[in-house]
Amino acid sequence: MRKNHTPSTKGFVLPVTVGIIVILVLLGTGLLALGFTSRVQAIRHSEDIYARAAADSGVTHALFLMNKKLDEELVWDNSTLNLIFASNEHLDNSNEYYSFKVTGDPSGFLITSTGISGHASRTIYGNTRIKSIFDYGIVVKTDLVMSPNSSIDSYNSTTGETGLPMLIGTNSTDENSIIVQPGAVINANVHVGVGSDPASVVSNSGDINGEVEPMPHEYEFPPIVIPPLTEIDTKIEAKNVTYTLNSGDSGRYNSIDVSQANGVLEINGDVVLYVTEDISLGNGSEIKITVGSSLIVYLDGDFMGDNGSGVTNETATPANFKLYGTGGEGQIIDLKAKDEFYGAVYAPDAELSLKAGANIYGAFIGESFEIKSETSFYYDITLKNSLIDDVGTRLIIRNWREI
Amino acid sequence: MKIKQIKGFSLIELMVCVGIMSIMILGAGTVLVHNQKGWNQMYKRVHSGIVADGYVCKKAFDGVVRKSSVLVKGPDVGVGGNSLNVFYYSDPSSTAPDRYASFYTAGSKLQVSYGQLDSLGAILTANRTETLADNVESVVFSTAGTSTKMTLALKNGSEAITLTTSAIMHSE
Repeated sequence: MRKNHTPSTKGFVLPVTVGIIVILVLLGTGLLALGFTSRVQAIRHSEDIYARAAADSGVTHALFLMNKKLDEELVWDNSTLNLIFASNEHLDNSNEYYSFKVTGDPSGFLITSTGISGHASRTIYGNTRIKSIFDYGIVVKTDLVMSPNSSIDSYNSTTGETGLPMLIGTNSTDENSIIVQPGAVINANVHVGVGSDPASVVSNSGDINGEVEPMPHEYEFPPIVIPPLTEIDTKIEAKNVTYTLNSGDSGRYNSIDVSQANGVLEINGDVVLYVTEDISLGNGSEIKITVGSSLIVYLDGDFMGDNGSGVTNETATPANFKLYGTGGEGQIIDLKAKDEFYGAVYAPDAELSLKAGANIYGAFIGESFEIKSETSFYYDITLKNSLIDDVGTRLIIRNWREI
Repeated sequence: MKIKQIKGFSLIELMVCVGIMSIMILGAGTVLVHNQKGWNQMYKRVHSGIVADGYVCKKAFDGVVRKSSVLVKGPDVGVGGNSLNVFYYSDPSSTAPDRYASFYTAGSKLQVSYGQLDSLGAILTANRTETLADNVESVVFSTAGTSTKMTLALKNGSEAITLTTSAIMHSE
């Protein structure tokens, strides 16, 4: 039988095509693998960032709740601290969660916050401290004016040390908000408004022996919560006489009027006053805080002192005379001292001014502040050591760690 | 006599075939070369030395800056922004920042040194120095408010990246 011979036709198109397809498949697979690796890395990296952001939120949330508790309780109750916690709290518009708990006591709380995103988990530890409203020696919202030849320095009323680190500042970013007149000296670091040009904000014709720089964040002026006091609602008058207030006289009064040369309002014991109208000191009169006593005044109205009048704090400790301005915008507090002045004033909406016959010791927080006398101001750094139930304290993060 | 018919291609058929094949090979070659370039580029973006160095720098920068002090002892940025000192607490019980980390360039390297501060807050000799990246073309540090920023340019031959990262300083 004759073999049917079919001639074999050799071709190369098919092998070439197959070869190209194989190479393309390999390349495509490589690209896909590389893309997948890259994507996995990116997801892990972003999950890590999301988890950290969630943990940050947990710390912020915990701190908010703690300060809310601080505002609501007249006396801090540490037994309810365990109520400040969160478990798998969902962050809105995201897939992240955080949990936190707070441990410790007023001497130091520890916030532990854990953020979770996908497979990533980050934990942050924040140690808190109690921030006093007198953390700065002087801080104002607008203007700070130093008279010629005045000075600003610091000291410790307990140890007597001087020349300690201190801050003064303004939230203002306006030109010439801090005026240092000729001969005036500032031995402190000076903070000006966030993002402002220090050279523009400070008009310096004196000496500043410290750094002048913008604040890292705006200074917050916490509101003052007036404690419940007995409603006495009468006027205290000391005209040419000595009127004595003891601890039992603490309460709410309409006004205080001390006048004429021998008019003296004497404080014996720890006295707390809430004055709903003005305090006025006539020429030559004074408010005298005797040794072993203290005076805290919440004032809605103005404080006006005539020449020759003054607040005499015989304890020589600024913490024993605290004046809180609660009058809102437009309040005027014009303090005088016959000799040295010891006291701390917190009146964030008031125009403050002080004229003393000798050195001034304490701290001043106001809308504005003017040192009218050629005297030295010493910030008492012990005013920074607040207790948790003190007026206007806040809890802030002091020390931050994370893993 | 049988006439054997020989099958074959005409010249025109061959030319058309060669033409088509040329176009196909050219197209496939272009795709192959393009893919190869893309693959190389992507590989470098993911795995190249400068990218890895960039990650290391970012992680070291974040880790230190986020725990550093902003108010008690704020950051020091060198002239022109070419160095950065930040200060932090070694322990929760520390009353003031007692440690520092210093970022700076040495030749073409970005280094970070860690050490202690003395009781007056002055920097003592570093305990440890690490090289974070080689091939540093430039680095600029800056601060604004509570945040600190690092802009780092790395270049190794034809490979170059610019990394910008910032972190909030959380400790007081």
